[in-house]
Amino acid sequence: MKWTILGSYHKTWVPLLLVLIGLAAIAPFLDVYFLYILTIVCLNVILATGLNLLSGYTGQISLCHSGFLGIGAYSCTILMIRLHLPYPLALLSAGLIAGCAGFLVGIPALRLRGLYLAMVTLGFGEIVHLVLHHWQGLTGGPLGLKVPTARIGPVVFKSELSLFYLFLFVAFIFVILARNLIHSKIGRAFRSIAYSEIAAQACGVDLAKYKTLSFALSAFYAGIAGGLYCQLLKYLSPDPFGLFESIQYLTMIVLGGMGSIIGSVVGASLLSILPEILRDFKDYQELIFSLLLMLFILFMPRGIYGMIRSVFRF
Amino acid sequence: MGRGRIFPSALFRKEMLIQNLIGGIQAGSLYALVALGLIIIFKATSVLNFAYGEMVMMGAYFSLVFYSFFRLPLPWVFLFALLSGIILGLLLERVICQPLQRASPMTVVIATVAMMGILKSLARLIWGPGYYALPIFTVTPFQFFSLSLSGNTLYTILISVSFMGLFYLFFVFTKIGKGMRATSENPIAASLMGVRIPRVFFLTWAIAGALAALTGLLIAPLTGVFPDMGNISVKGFAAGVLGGFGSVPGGILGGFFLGVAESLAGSYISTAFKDVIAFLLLVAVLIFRPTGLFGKQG
Amino acid sequence: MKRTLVWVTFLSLLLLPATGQSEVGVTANEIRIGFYAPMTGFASYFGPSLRNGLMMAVDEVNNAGGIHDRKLKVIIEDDACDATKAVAAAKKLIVRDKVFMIFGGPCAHSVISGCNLADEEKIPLYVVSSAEELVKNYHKYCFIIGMTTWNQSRLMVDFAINELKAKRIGIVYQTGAYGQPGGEGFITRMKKYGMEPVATVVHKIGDTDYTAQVLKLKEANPDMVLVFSYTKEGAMIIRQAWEKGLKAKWVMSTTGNIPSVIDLATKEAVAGRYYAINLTSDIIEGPKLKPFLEIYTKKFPADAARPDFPNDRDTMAYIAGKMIIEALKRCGKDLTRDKFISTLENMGEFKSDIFPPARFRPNDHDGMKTTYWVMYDENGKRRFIDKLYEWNEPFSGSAGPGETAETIKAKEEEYYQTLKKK
Repeated sequence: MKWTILGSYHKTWVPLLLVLIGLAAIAPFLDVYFLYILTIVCLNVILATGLNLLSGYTGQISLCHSGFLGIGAYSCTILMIRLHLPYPLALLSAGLIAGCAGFLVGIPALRLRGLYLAMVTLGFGEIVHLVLHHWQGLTGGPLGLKVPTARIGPVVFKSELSLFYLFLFVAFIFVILARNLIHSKIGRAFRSIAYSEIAAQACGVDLAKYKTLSFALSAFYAGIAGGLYCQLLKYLSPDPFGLFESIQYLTMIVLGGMGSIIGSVVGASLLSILPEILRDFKDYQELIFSLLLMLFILFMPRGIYGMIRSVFRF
Repeated sequence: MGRGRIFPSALFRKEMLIQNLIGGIQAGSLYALVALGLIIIFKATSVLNFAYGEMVMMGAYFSLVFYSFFRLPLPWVFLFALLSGIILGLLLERVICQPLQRASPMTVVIATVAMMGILKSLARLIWGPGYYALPIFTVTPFQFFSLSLSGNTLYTILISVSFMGLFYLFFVFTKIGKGMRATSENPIAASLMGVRIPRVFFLTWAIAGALAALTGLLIAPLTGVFPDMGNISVKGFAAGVLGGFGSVPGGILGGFFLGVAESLAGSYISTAFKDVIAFLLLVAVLIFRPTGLFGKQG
Repeated sequence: MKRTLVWVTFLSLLLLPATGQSEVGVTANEIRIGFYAPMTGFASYFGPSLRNGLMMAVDEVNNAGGIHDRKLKVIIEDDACDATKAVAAAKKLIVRDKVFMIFGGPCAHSVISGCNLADEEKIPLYVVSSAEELVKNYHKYCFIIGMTTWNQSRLMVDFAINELKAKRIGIVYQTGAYGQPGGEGFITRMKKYGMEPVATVVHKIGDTDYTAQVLKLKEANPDMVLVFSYTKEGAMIIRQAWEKGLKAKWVMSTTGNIPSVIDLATKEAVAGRYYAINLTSDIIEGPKLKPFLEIYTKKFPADAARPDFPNDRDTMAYIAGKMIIEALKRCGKDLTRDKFISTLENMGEFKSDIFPPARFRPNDHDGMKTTYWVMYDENGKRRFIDKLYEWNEPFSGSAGPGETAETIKAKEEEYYQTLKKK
């Protein structure tokens, strides 16, 4: 498996690097509210990118991604509290644990397709949600857990600015990683599975290996996002890890453009920022949000990036 | 926290089992009705309608308006609710199905999700977030041997089973029903045989809309009318898939199975476990029988 | 040399504490109060109540000329009952709208996250919520009137045993941040009387079938069932229990104090056997609350027309608003956040026509520990029970400075142990 970190893909990662540097440069001048929203954008970008690997590239629906997020968030927190692991290690472990959970979900997924696959992931997601809720000894139950502040070496991630830099950096790394993955042998295997499983098999693609790998990788992304998420409020509860949220993440990638990394970034950004922009509509926020979503879908059924591609024909 | 096992004493054992079964069948009949509506739409138009629960919710609100605001007698409430449901179904068909005919299934799903949000927020804005009661059935329990039954339970089970029977007959014996089944099997072959596909779509959504409205009318006396009623569609999906989403009888049986399983698990394992049994069953069944308990293999 | 002098003077001026600089959110003619509550989403039942109650108090004082020539301005935001969105709302109110203090409620996770933020940003936060977590650890900047699940559950047990002479008590509670502490409170308080629940039953928010729960209760044959759940769920349980032949009395938390419970639970099921916490000095339909109701209906006709508005949340938000206003008044013209906090803490009892006295203390930011009761009589009519239940044990659910949730829990357990020995 060859990785090309620096390679001929400068067309994508150079612009991304510029965005990274630009954001990092203006960040100290932004107020805490703005930074908070941008931090959430970075979080959702990681999640959406991971989800796109699974649903966009490999064509397998997942309705349990908020479950993986929750597993990541709780794992990271519990490892920090109980085993006193340093944050970077806890974060990575959270990703790995979620990745294993993803692998486990991937196994029954081998025999399932379409609606049935969606439902098994839905079932899994709800089970995770309920376990987080009921297993009080481990997770603190519905009243939640207080999360210790992360530190890496001498840096304590307490301020909004420091959190933003952390999230931004991790988001950048993972987006680049995804980009490389897509253009590697693994990515090609994923796409062939989405196109036609039979044809892929005929070409020698090991379905079982790549299907479970896509689940595991996607869940790993969500786990990392979870490990970051727990630092956002320094407080964790089982509430945000339910079906409704999983549907929101799917909406991000459909809106942005399935099967496209840039699509994930665009969709995640838009859906994170839009509710904040709509605040002025007070009681009508919900309705307008749903109406806008409907309009987007009707006029851009291939997502925003899909539409940009067809307009500019590339 | 009292989550331990309860072993009922001999006195209660048989009674408890029967009461559990009846309660399970009542809940299950509602799940089955929702599953029915979901399956009808999926089979004929290949759309996973995440907004179906909200169609049920709107049906309940329509019934409320006709019953409590206009003070119409019950048969008229029934009729008008039905008509409103049909109109809503057709509206959704025009807005979602038509423009997105060639879009990917995921896109259509998200469109129905958007519709779900629109309907829910509309209900909240128009009628407010509180609940309204819709007491249509009597409640005083009567004794049947040593069991306590209520009119509510009986009506619910009877009416929902009748609906299901009617729909089954419709699909199997009427020309239109056969056309719908043919379309879901193979649209091209069906249209070659003279089935007009757009008309099938139209009828499917109209029927599903009517069914949704009637389901709403049926659920409302039990739970009250409130904007989040639509959440039952999750259980409806689970029930349908458990039974086998490809067939109407499968979905219906799945609904009853789920209702009874929940009731039994709540009584014999623990009330906290009742939450989770539905999804454990779903995952377990799909692992061992990927097309559902009663679905066709392959 | 001259240039150096200029720079030194300039820099030292920068370093001097700015005199005459007013507190954030306070100008010559305005005090800005931020507000967040669920105005949209599944909990949007609560948001408008809190807003209306607060605005009633605010408009009252503004129309009378304001506080020391300053008018109150309330900036309303939505949290959709989600902690992440609540924090976004709070941050926006703090940095963009530059508010003096924040008023919010009632979702547990929103107020807890808000409280953590308030401690960080050193901004007073006053919530109307039942989240006992807010006072279980000491937070200098957070105040709550509720009543908290901690107090509600314990007073319900006291009422059931002392007033209704319950001998076999079953408990029902909802899983989640509202019901769980309530259920735990039931079990803990019953220890005072040397009792244990004969059946403990849980359910989830949104459940519609309670066959299993009811059968379990029936089997244990209680004469009293205590319920800590939301309105609909509680009403459905009671109705289904009645249908299955369970003949017990019911005591519900404040969510049961909604007049339309009887519509969902049906008259037969509740007549003569239903009691609930009623925090106001009279039931909402009663004579003492009539003036409030009249003003509310005139101000908010659309909301008043909806079933079950106004309710306990509206009245509590009104009282909370009045307490805030009183504290602001007592601070005088020179208003700072720290002064406001210590005024609230030392104000003593806040009396009103519609509530029993509310009170904060320096080591106790939980302002409401008293309740009356409401019942349905034999004809299904709501009746006020004029019995005031107060919390007056030598410990409370609130942690003072230096105390933690563990220490107050230990205090309570210890107390019950010593009672046992007597």
